[in-house]
Amino acid sequence: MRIDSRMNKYNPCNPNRRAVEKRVVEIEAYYMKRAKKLDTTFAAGNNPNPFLSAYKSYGMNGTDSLLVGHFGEINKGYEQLICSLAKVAAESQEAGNITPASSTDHKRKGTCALFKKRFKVALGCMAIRTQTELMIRRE
Amino acid sequence: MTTRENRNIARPARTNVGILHLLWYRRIDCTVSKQKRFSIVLQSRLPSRDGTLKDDVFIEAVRCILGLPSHILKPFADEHHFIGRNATMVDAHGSMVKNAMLINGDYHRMHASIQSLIIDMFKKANIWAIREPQNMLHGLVPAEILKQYCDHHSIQEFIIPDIMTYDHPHRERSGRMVLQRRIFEVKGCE
Repeated sequence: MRIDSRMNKYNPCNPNRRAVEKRVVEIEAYYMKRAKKLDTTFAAGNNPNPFLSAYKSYGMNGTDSLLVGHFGEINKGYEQLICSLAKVAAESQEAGNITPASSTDHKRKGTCALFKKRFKVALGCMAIRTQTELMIRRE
Repeated sequence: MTTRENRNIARPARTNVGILHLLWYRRIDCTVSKQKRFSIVLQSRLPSRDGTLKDDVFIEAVRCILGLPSHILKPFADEHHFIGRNATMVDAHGSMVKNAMLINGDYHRMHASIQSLIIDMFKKANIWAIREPQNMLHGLVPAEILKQYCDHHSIQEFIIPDIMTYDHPHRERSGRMVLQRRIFEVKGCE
């Protein structure tokens, strides 16, 4: 069950599907809808769908959604982004002198794994802290 | 739990105290699935950059991770207290309190933090990224149509992604690395 700001959504067909993955579909549909609306408003009768084709030229097929849940869980696209950024960051010159952040890091081989771990730690801590502080602020 | 994991748990008893402490964290990593590892990261790492966290925040964060009712909302979760424009009833776990729309705003609580974090990640990877660009369609839409779009008064109809980058590396199926234009939409869902 996902409790939204306006409605409750319950999907009994696939209860294992996470809230962050459900939201990805909504975001993609929202962007497509906006691009189509711009086409009908500004380019009616002209070139076929200039705004939609411009939107789809980004990335694989439009926008990439980055979702963070209440407990710091993230969607698949975000995880892929972290992996790719960690790989690129590990190849930079600054990563040449990097040292492990803690004593448990020595078993993780390579700079890429260290960067990936640091990104995940920053993200998880930030999500939990922000959510908790918000609730305390609203008390 | 499998036999192999049981063997791992039994091992710290034979080591000294410091290593036992570290192995306890490893045991958590073994027992939870890969998808849920982000939620326990607070337990195994320092919660903020300077390593400090207020007592009430820490207590609430741990209760949230464990799925327990909120400590601070306990007096208000009696079905007689409401919050927000829509007068949402206060619940024991605080989910409705976080999602409530207040009159003074404060809706985009996680949004800005996630945006900043992703920008920092891009900087770390030496990738140029811009936050909330308004020129996403420039150069891709014919000039006469784009002029009408730019002269339009309602900014609500504009497409403005959260983050845009022009040189994001992407590996094709052939193994070749190419630089891609990409846009990202950031959401914090509760």
